Amino acid sequence: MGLSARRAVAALYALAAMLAVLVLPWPVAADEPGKLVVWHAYRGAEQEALDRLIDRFRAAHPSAEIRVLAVPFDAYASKLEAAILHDQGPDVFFDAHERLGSFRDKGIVAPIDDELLRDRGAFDPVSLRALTIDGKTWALPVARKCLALYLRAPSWPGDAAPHSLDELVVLARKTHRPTLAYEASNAYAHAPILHGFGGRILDAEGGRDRYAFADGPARDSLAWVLGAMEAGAIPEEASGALVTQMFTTGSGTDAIGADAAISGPWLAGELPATLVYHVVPIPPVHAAGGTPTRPYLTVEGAMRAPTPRDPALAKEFLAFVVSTEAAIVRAKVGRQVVATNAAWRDPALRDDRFLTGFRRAADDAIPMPTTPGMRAAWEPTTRAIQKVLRRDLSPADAIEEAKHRFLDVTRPPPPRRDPRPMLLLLGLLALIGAGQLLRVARDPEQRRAIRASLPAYAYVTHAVVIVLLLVVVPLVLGAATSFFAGPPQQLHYVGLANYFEILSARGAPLLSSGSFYAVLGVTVLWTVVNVTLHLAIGMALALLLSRPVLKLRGVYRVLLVVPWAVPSYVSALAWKGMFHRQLGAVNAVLGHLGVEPIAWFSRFSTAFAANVATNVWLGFPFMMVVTLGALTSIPREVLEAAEVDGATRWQRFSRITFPLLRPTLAPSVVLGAVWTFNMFNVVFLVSGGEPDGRTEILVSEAYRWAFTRQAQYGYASAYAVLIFLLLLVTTRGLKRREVTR
Amino acid sequence: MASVSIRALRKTYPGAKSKTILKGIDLEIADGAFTVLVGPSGCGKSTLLRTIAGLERPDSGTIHFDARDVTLAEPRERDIAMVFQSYALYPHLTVRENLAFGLELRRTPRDEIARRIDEVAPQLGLGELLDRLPAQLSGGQRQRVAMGRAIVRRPSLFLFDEPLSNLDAALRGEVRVQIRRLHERLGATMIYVTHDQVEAMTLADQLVVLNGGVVEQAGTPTEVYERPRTRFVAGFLGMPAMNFVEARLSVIEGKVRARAPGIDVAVADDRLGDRESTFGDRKVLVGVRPQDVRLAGAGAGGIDLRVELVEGLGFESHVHGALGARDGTPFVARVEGAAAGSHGGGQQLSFEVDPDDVHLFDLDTGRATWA
Amino acid sequence: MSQVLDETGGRRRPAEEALVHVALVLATIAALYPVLWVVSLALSHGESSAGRVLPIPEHLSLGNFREVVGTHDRATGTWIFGRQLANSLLVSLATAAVGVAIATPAAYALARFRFAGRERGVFLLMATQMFPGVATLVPLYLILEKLHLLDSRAGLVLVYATTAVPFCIMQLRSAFEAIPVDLEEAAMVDGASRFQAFLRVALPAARPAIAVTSLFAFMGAWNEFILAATLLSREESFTLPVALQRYVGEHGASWGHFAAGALIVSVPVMALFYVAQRHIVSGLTAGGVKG
Repeated sequence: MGLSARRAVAALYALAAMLAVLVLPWPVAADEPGKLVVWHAYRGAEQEALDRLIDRFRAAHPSAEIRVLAVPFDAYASKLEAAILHDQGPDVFFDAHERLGSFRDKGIVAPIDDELLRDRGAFDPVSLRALTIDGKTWALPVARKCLALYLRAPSWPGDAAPHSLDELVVLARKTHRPTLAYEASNAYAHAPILHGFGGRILDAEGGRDRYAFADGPARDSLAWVLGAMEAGAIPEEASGALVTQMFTTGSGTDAIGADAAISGPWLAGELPATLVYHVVPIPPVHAAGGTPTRPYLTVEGAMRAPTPRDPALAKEFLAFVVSTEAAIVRAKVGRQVVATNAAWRDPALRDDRFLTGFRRAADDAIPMPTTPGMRAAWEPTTRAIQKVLRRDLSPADAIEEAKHRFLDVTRPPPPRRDPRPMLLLLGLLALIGAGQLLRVARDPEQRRAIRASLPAYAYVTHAVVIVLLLVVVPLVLGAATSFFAGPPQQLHYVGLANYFEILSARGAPLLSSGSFYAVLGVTVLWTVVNVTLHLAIGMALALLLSRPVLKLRGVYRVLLVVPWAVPSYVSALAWKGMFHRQLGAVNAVLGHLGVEPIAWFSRFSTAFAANVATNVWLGFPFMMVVTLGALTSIPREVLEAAEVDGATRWQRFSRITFPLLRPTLAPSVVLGAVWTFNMFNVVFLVSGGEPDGRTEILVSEAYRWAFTRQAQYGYASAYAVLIFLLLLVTTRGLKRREVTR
Repeated sequence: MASVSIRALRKTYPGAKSKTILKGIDLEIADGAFTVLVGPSGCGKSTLLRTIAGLERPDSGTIHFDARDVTLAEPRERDIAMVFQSYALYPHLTVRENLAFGLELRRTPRDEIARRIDEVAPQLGLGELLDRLPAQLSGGQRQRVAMGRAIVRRPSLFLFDEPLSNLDAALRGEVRVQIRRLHERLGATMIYVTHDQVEAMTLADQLVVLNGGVVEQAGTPTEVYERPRTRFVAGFLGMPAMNFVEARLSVIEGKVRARAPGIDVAVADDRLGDRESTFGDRKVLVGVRPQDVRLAGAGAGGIDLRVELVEGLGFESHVHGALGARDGTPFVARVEGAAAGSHGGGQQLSFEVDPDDVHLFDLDTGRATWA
Repeated sequence: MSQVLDETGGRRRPAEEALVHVALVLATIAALYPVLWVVSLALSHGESSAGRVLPIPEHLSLGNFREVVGTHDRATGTWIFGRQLANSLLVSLATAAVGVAIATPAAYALARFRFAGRERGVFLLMATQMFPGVATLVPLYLILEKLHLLDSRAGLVLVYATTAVPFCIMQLRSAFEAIPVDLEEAAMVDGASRFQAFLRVALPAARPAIAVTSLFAFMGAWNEFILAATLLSREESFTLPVALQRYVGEHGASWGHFAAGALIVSVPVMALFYVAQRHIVSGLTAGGVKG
């Protein structure tokens, strides 16, 4: 018999069996004594230190079963919430104090037993205060983190340190080299300087957040940074990676480098072990007078879930982690500025210039406000600083815009609406649907059609069920979310308010930056430019490759398809690296051609061009291959007939080849347009919306609302529904046109 | 072996451009007969064959194999074998597996399958090819595999759907003979669809001419050729095709004659239906096959042709011209031998024809006047 | 760069031919340059590539590869890279198997049967491709949470397979349409039922297309990282793309490791891609937008 057919069936069974194994769920944690689960987001040295502590704790509790999980930082908070609420989470976990407020509100953290806090004097008081809300302490202080000034030998030998930041600027004017590496346009890094001018980002007074990045201090701080940049003291467009790179390089070599950097303890982990440096608190901006440049302070605490598997064991572990003995390990191995006072009596710690430097910096730092407003303040502030540093806006205008943006993001959700009209509508629709069904069931013609379809249904039912459950249901749920607003835990029905807000640009001018229409415009431009270039380049290459006589045709063909074969996120990240202002290959190539380096992501035109370059690179091979296939279906005789008829090359292309390619290419172009319209990867990974969110397309804008702007799922869903409707209507229209042609 | 009896078969394809393909077909096929369904494309011959196979379901009417009603039976319940125009060889199976496929589905014992394949393969010259895949075979070899696949099954009814149309002319003639021999040897009932009249004439015991979803005529090839029942059948069979001239019937000296400009021929009595009604200046369509005319002395024949063009084929010539005057009805005559050279354009020739070879059709219905 | 397709073999214009080669070489360089950068980054261990034009490392070293492949969990000593490689492989294989298994009969029905609801179903299938995935991320998360399949390979397979199904159906449908109906009719005349004809004739005849479609479903799962990053939380349940992405963090991206990992992930699928690429285009253009 058809042996091969039998083999295919056997293979199917084997796969099904494999699947059954896969579907077995991961073991579920059960509440039982003697068990401890610890979660953290530490990496590198800090992880190493924690692992050593766990080893010691294990040794002391040989019968206990202890599991440690390192969760990536990006997703840490959301995983914690989901896991703890489903009894799958940790008993003890480490996190920053800023999150405590929302953890407490969601009930995933329990207050610390008084017993553990009997000696409050054992801990650093500022840290303890930061972990206390409404009189209850919710975590044991573990470590403090803030920004400080890194100084490199030999320029800054021993304890040498500048007396002011001005001193570094003066030095730069003299040496014509950068003197201070830091992420000038990042609001977190700018905060110390703002504080140095007496300003604040946020006032959290009287329980209400007030955006305070305004007035004199904000303007002055921005003017100072601008001056420092003009003096060449600090780099333009600096990223965290560039800061690392510059400080590692130093000023001694030809490459761009600096001997001082403002960064946090995490920088140390990225530096080569051989580098000699020390750390001091950030000096004041001006030498004489002026407010201290106080950075924001983050206090890391050890927290406890409300229902630990073994409460006694969890308590014991908490006590152990903040004990003097453990703190010394964390400090020595994990390079943490520990909050356990007694640890600092250890001579090794006292003499450690790194740790003491950060400790002094932390003593003077301002605990980060824990209100939701703080999280909403970063994006507008960072954008404002960026715009000023790129000289797109004056400080005053940028500050004004930032304030609007802050108010926009933190605006209260639309008011609760009466869901009854919607329910009525849904009921009515359901009724009409049922009526339709009934009519179909009654109509003998339809009944016959359905009866005739029964054999076919046997083939499609399972696919329909699965697609309905896992594709359509999430789609419908997602779409339904667009009628709700509010924080994720307390969504409430708001009717069409989200759509209304989107389509009215939230009261701003309809075409203002970030409005739906502006983003739509960018998206359409993005799609048109990309598809045009894909088609033009792909077709041109295909025509070249289909010359009857061409050496190395096979080699060209294989190599030109490479961009399609590489996973798109890899290429997108590679391109982002290539467009880097200081380190990227594109500027290096341009430099060899005598072109000044371009800050690609500082201007809409160049950032958009970078995105387009990446996406065109990704997409032209598809069009090329499609065209090559389509070209083979054009009979040679037709072209020869045209040539005999006296048509020129261009005429032959435009009058014969192109019209004949059209029907074959049309579906691919539509498909390519839909893909490009929703091409999230490239925009998100390459420009990330820079500058100022202006290269954002609709999909990435929706993503921002869902995941970075206070989780406004409803709003994001409304965006998604609008995108869907736009695409649907457009492609239907296109198809109809193509059909009528 | 089985006889096939088809009654009032109708089939309409659903859809916006719903089209009735079969408009009430009645057909009797005797046990062991070789029946050829012939007609132009779109006449419904393939649909009729597929309905007999069970691949299409009729809207109404019945199909019986012997006494069994199979109208609604699945193909596999009909004990038939079919050779497709495309051969439809299973591309993933070797020749041997292709031959065995149907037997395996019927759970024939393995040794029996092997025996039958060993028996059939040499007959068709497939011995060397048994372990090849269809893609490795030539067109003629594939055709033989398709035939072999039908033969090993030993069905009670063979169906052929234009099985020779993908072969070149020389091979086609060869296989045609093979098929006829196969029928002699097996004595099985066979239904064969083609649009090629040579195949139809040479193969058929019973020839069925279909047009527009109805049976125009069924009968032995000779019968159908010599006494076409309709104008369509008359025009469809024969190369070059029959000449048609509108003429008037009149009785001259007790004999019925058909007359029109350039033509005046006697008609045999049996070509006339009801004699009374055909008398008296009735207009009819006269049909004369090019093969049935003979050259006559100048003005001696009943057909006067003004020659426009002569096609010489060597063994015969086709004389194209107009009856009577320059703008008369076009007419083609066949002349034995390479006589072409002696006749030039503008020349007048006269032809005669036997009254038995003059066909008469009703102008409105296209039916033969005797029918 | 006008049209040169109709150049007959007899006529040769050397200048023109040289120009064509110049254009093609330039295009090839543009196509390869970023990839060569990744290769060069992967091969230069611990050195900076800043400001260089040619993607050639100063000192060749396999250090990055060694470190990426050798990633172990500090505490438990598990070979994390191996775990993640296994995750990626299992998830991708299962996705291809499940996706194609679900899609094949449905695609066959669309290609061969006319049935009530067919047009609407095809339209719905197309429409699901237009809804931005971002909006379904949260509902999917919640559904998997309810099914207790978060952070599991099975959950990921379920999500990948179902999102792959519409694409697979479109692909396979055009593949089945390309198979002559005669084959199944011949089988039915030979004694097969409708389903046997599908299983024993149409299915084997569509084998190349099924292989290619599986391959693309496999590659889709192998390369996906947004869903995986959302639905997975533990390092040992990560797939390779998620693990890779972590090398390029906010501070001090270790591009060398990323590049090495990217190559390890990409090279096998690139090889497979070349096998499949020719076939996929016909499917895409024929079946992709038809409906």
